[in-house]
Amino acid sequence: MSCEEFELLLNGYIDGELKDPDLKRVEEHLAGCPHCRKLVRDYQRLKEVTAEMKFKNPPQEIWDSYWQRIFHRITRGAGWVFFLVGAVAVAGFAVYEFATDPAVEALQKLIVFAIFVGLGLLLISVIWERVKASKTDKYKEIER
Amino acid sequence: MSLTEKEIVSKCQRGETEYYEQLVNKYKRSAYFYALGMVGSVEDALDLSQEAFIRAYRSIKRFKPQYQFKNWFFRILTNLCISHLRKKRRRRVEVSTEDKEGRTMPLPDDHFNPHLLLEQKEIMRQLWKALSELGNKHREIILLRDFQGLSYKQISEILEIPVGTVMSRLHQARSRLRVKMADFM
Repeated sequence: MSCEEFELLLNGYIDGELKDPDLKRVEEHLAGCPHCRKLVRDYQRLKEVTAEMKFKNPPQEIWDSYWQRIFHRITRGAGWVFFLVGAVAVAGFAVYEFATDPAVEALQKLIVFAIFVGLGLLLISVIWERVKASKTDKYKEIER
Repeated sequence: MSLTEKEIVSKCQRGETEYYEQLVNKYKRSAYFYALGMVGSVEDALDLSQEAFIRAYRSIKRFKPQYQFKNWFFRILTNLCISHLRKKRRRRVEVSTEDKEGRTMPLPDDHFNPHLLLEQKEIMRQLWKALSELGNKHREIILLRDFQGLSYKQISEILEIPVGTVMSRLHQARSRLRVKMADFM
């Protein structure tokens, strides 16, 4: 085994991830190569230093409220789905009742229909503009 | 009687949200510290780790039981961290200043503060700085192997790369780290 080949397997060796026949070949190479033995010591030292690095633990309150924040967001998402499904069903029913009500004149229905179509078009226009802006606005990531 | 992780996941897949708390409690610390190592900010690490748990819950029905939950969850978390770092880098370049010669200068990064470290030894400060200067791919693999203690097989599942690539990428990452730490070793 050449030193170049050894270097490719070096990290697997120091992490204990090598198996035979690679492990045997690496050990044979190390037995006769002081340069690679030094390399192993250097990388083992680096691993030791890395293993020593620890971060400060955040205050206990953070861990105490950690699950609650997740739980609220999970259940809130489900709440919105139910609300939207319900709202769409109620609106659909109201539109159906209004459109099929024989007591309301055709002209009245037309006026109300025109108002809602207008509102719908305005809403679509605003959403479309927002979507377009979000694709091209280079300042969108900036918190205002 | 305590349930196995597979049983807990299975209950969560049937919509029993209360069991998800056990998974969150089991992995919240490692998720937070991994995210902290990736993004270098306490607030972002908390937000990203919690967001990862929320996304994992929302797609838990698609989780295949032959995998480990931890590997699958860390894949979600890693993707979130990388996406966050990319957005942040774009933002820093866009919200940039110009020097005297009119060259664009990105704003300095206030993350990866040494005060986040438990021990204020010079060698630890240098290691934290060196890690922050590594590319995302190299930092993530060092964090997964040396801080999370995951096997090459687990890392290959999380990063969706072959085990051979894990070994070669880890070699590149440690080689760069070794060069940056040369004065302290």
